[in-house]
Amino acid sequence: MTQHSAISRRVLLGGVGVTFGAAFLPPAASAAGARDPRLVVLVLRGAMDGLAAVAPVGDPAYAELRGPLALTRTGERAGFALDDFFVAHPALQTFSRLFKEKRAAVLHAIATGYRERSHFDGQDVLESGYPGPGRVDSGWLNRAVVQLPPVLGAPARGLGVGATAPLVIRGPAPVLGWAPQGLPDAGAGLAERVLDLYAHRDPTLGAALRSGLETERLAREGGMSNDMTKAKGGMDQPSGMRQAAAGAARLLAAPDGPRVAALAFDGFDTHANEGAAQGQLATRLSGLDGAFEEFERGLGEHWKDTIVMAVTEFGRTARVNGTNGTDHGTAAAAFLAGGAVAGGRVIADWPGLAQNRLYQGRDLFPTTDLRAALKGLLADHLGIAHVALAEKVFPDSDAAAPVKGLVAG
Amino acid sequence: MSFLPNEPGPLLHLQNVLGMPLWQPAGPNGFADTADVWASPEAMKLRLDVSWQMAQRFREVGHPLGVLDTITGLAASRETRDAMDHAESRQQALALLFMSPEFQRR
Repeated sequence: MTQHSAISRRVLLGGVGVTFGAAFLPPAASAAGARDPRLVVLVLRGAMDGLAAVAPVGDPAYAELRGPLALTRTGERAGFALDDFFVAHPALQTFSRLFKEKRAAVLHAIATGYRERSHFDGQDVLESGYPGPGRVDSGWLNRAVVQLPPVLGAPARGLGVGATAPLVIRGPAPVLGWAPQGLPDAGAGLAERVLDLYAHRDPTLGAALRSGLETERLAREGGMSNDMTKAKGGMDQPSGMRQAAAGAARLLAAPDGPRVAALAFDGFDTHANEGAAQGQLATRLSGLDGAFEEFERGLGEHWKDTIVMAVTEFGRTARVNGTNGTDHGTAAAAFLAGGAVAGGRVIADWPGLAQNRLYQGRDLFPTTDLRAALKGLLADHLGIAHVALAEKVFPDSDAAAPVKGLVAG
Repeated sequence: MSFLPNEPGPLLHLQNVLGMPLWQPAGPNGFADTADVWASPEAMKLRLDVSWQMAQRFREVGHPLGVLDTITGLAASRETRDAMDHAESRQQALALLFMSPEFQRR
């Protein structure tokens, strides 16, 4: 059951009201001292390049494979050193600080069980939690919410951010829907694809659209954009990602609000002009980093009991392609951030990037099943029973034993 | 394929955004269909944003190319088919369908 409709603005305002109202309740009204965990899942759509987001600069094959996209320890393309092997992308400033504070961790060389290269099917597998594509009736996070105890007497519910809740949070458990209001920009990625289509098929529409986009850009640079009526950007723009995270954090912080949320960020399909320290990927990663910052700020006292996890449907090729980008690959990286993370570590059974170590001779080899990490997280962070995880949340995942030790305390 | 929400409000809003409020053309000759009005830069930019908004509201899309076949049949161009096939999400594929020449000029 998804309660998603035009009421979403009211839901948010209601959430804010609850937050303010709670300030006037006596402290005894909340269960003092009890752990009250929050979990946020960020779905990074388009297959985020794990080798660029968390770069294995210590791997002898890395620099040559990545050529102009390779990050370094020092210089113009330097990332944030995480340990003596990995650097985080320079756009991940907040994440790197949290990592240093041991409130963030990376899971690397990680993948779902999906081994083809279709975004559509890969996202279905990632979000549904089923071993293969074709099951889109519910998502694993929603089935996990079903297992949660009631919150202040009401059944636990999830939060889905966006015009439509991401599949991962859809299903039998009740879900609140919320989206920034107004008509956000469609995003540069879609615009480029439409312009490319028009270049081949319909120059008249192409010229008109190009001109319309140009006018919009000029208006924005001139400060004429009407922020009063518009959401602050699409889900592939840093401003839009931040806005969505800030809104979700506000709802998650409310005493009777949801404890579990899902958001989806777009634009990670970097086939061309991926960039190194700056560029397409850097823009998206800075939005992701901004989302981490907004969650830390917005969750306030609850941040210490929070884990924000960012996952993607698959990784990208180890080698750079002919258009300074990367193509669909296999293993990727996943991010964990929040006060409840046993952080300060890049967790990986590193397969190496030597030619004979690559999956099908082209991709980072998957050595950790994403479902194993998710099962460990749901068990240790939300207290979900192992039998429910194996039977309801991630069916047919017996081979993926829960990863232990991801949660602090 | 289900379309959410069930209420007409959001749809009416999008029609207003596109400058074609329901039953309220600017004059008795209806909404203009000349290229300079229908395919003006501002209209195209708005239509792009609206296409993305609409695409995000569809759930359980199935394979987007199936939707393309249903709507355009054999009239779909190879370029549109390829662009949708390479989209980074189902929603982006649907938005590309809405913006495709076949759909726009149908």
